[in-house]
Amino acid sequence: MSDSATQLPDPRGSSEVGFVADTPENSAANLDIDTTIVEGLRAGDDRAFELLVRTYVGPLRAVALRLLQNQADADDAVQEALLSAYRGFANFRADARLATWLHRIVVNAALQRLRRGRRQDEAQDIDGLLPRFQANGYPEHFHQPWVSSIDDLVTRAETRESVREMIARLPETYRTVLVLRDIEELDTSEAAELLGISPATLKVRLHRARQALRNLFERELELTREA
Amino acid sequence: MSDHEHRCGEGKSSHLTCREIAEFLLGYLERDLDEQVLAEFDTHLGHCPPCGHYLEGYRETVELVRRCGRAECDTSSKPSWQPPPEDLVQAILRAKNSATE
Repeated sequence: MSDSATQLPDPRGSSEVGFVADTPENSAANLDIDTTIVEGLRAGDDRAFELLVRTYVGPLRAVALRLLQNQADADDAVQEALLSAYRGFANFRADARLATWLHRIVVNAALQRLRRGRRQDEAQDIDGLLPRFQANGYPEHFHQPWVSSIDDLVTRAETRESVREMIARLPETYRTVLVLRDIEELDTSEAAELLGISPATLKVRLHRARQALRNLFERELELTREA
Repeated sequence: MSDHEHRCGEGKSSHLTCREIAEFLLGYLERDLDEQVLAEFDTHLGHCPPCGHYLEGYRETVELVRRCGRAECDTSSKPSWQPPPEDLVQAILRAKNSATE
């Protein structure tokens, strides 16, 4: 075992890092742990892999769960992703961020699992949630300004939970695109490539998902005076 | 003049209908439309309060999703991924050891 490997901390004592809010303190802590993991893996120390798992399994699990909506499937995707990361560690570039690299791997693993398990008869219709218009192009419903600010809404735990529940209600085709773009913050071309669709198709799905959610939020969070 | 025509000013505030405003809103926000169409969007939005409210609600929807989508970012409750589940950690370590034996 190399000298660098002997510097590894006890993996069980590792603090939670990963996709935590990016404060300067968190960033510094993440970088320290990432350096330890990367150097350990390069030195062939098994404890480095355990440290990697203990550090990132939680946030990776949350990413997988957002896409798969099922804890058992999410756990399987995370296991696949971490083993894939271990096997492919030689592909990790020295100038890359470990969290970003792992994030892409788990997104890919979750999407593969989603494709394998997709039920062909699953309803993918979102039309009922889209805005309605008259034949002359005017809306059937006059849109009103929202009466609550976003800052007020996000302070309420029940509202945050309702928002996540409404996202989960979207048909899978649309939810996946929305999660990748608006929550996981992948860019259009990257998300389209992972999903095997064109950027134009991705944008259509993203727009419809946002329109559907806009209607759901407005109605179920009672955001207008009419609601 | 209908209620909506009244709200839209002259009823012909641009060559775009409210349906088209809603349909191409993403292209407008990403400045992914021709300059002429972008200008017509601006004209329509300047004269049609309901479409302006729709645009604002759309932006707020994106913001709400971004800020609420990650359960683990909730500051008022314990993040769902702390601590990492030990059985999952052990399963991954066993699988890795099996794969490398």
